[in-house]
Amino acid sequence: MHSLEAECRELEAAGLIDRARAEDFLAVERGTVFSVSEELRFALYASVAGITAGIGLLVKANIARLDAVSLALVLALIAALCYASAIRTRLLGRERRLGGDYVLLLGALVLSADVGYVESQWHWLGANWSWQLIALAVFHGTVAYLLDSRLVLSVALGALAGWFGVHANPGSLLMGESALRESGLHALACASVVLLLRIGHPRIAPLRNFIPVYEHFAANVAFWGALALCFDAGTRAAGLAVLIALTTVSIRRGLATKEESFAVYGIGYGTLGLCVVQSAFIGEPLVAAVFDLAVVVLAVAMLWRLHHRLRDGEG
Amino acid sequence: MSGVRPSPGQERFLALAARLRLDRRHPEVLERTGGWTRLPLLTRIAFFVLGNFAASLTVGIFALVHLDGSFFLAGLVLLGIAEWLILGRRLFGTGIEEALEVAGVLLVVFQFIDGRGDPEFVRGAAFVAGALLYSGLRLLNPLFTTLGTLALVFVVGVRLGHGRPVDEALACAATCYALGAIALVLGRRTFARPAYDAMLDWLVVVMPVAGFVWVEGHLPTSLTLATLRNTGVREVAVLLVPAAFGIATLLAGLRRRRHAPLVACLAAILCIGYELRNLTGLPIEFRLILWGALALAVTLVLDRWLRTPRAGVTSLPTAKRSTVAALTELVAAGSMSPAAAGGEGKFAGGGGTYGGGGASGNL
Repeated sequence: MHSLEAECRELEAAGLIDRARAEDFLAVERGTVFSVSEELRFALYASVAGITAGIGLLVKANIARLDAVSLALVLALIAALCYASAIRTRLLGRERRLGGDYVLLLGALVLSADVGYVESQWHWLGANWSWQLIALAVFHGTVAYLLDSRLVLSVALGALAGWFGVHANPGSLLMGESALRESGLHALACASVVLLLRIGHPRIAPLRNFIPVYEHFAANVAFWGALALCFDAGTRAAGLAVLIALTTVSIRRGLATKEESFAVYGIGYGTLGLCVVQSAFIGEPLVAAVFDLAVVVLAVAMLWRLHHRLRDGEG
Repeated sequence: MSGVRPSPGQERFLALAARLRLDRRHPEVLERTGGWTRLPLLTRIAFFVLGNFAASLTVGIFALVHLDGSFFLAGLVLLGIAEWLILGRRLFGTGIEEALEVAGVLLVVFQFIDGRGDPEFVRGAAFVAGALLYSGLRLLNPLFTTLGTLALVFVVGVRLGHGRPVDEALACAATCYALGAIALVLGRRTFARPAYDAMLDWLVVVMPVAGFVWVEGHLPTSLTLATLRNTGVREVAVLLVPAAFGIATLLAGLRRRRHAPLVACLAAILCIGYELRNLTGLPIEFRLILWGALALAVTLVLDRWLRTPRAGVTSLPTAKRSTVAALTELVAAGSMSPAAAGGEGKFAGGGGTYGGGGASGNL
């Protein structure tokens, strides 16, 4: 066990940190205050994931055996109880804590399962069954805004991506070319919609801290779509153009907001995309490897420079 | 030592500057850190990935020009660049020098194994363990020391098991638990270098899980109420050892105010939960719901109870969350969303499939 108490005192004496900040740090360092919030967060996530997976399996495995009405009602009741807990906290004017966040997330996920189950049983939407995902995205999005939940907003964006056919599956880049092209275009369409929502966000609820959720989601989905286009011979040029544009925008965004993650996205996805595209044009393995190495070295140098600009205020 | 890597004092100031998010180019900070550079986690991961990519391309180029001893030569080049970055540019924990150094050492070792024509896999594992441990200690990197220790455990287990897979697994598991326990005990000591604490922390978390996986991989026990009544020592040990370790780590974590033992305790609980998966005889979906609900209830009670600090322990955060942690949580929540967990990826007037919480009609 090491303690940085002496070093903290030294920095305080040198005037690098003020007394209040030093005291806060020392309280943690001495163990006077010990937060277990991250451990609880992990336990809450594991619990919710377990319950959700269990409900998913229950519905899937027993779809023919269970009384459909009863199961749908039970799931609706569980979801309602979860929502009621969050609504009650809000009505009482209290701040929702860590546990409350995850109970609300559980409610959103159980409701999603319930809606899927109801549709599979009664086929109210018929051939347009997938529109339930849009309905869920709108509902979860509304709940996220009303109850101020970034976790539920993530679920809403996940449902939206699901409707567009975008999956969190790296294996999707190994699909056939036509499927890749479709997947890439849908990902870009999805990212555009999310970006529009992000633009509209300050007008809807400027106090909600949702912008990072929109931006990170849009950036990753858009880069994923551009990469998918780069893999397909017919859309390679367009994919490369989109990739370069996205890289530029992402890096500029990173510099503007001092968010290093956007610089990492830009450099990381950009490097991968360039290496993918060159593999279609350079047949000689040695030349291709040298080209890729040059791209990677350039990427390292650029990321290093960007890091310095972001950290040291040169930008 | 300060020219080869940061001195303990410099490393402590580096750790402090990172935690307090101080400007590392401030003269007062520079004077104390000796000009060494360390990067935040996300950027470090990005550099590590790029560094590994560069290393694999380098070895590919050496192989393509058909040089004799291409692994050895590529390894030397990578080692040279890594050491130049460390000694010349004073990089410490930036990802790039770590990727190049470990790749370089491993390539040299691979050439050595290949050159000797050694058919014995375990000897190769011993060399890999040595390479990883050297890199870990050279760079003060807990990931490499932990991987090196795991490779070493494999070597010890194979030697002690005398070719019998079950005995090898038991020997590996026993060694893992022993090393985890030693790391937990050593964690009480005061070290000048924060990196040594990190190395022990990683061992405390990883080794017991590795031990459990080793046993489960070769001796799946899966206790039920019926077997518990007529059980042997081995089955009970599979349950009791993680339980004992879980209790020990919980107490150590709370007493020492350290997070790693608490994470180890959570891992032990997961191991016990897995071991008891058939206890009730219920179908898996009911087990997931019941155990999940129980865990949720316990965690909610703890969260509420600790809102008022108890002997200083609180459920309220004391520091701003890191970007990586916040992003991971959002991605994890989004990935449980309907149709986000994978599927056919078809789009036909919408494109959901069943996954995560499940919402599509395509059950």
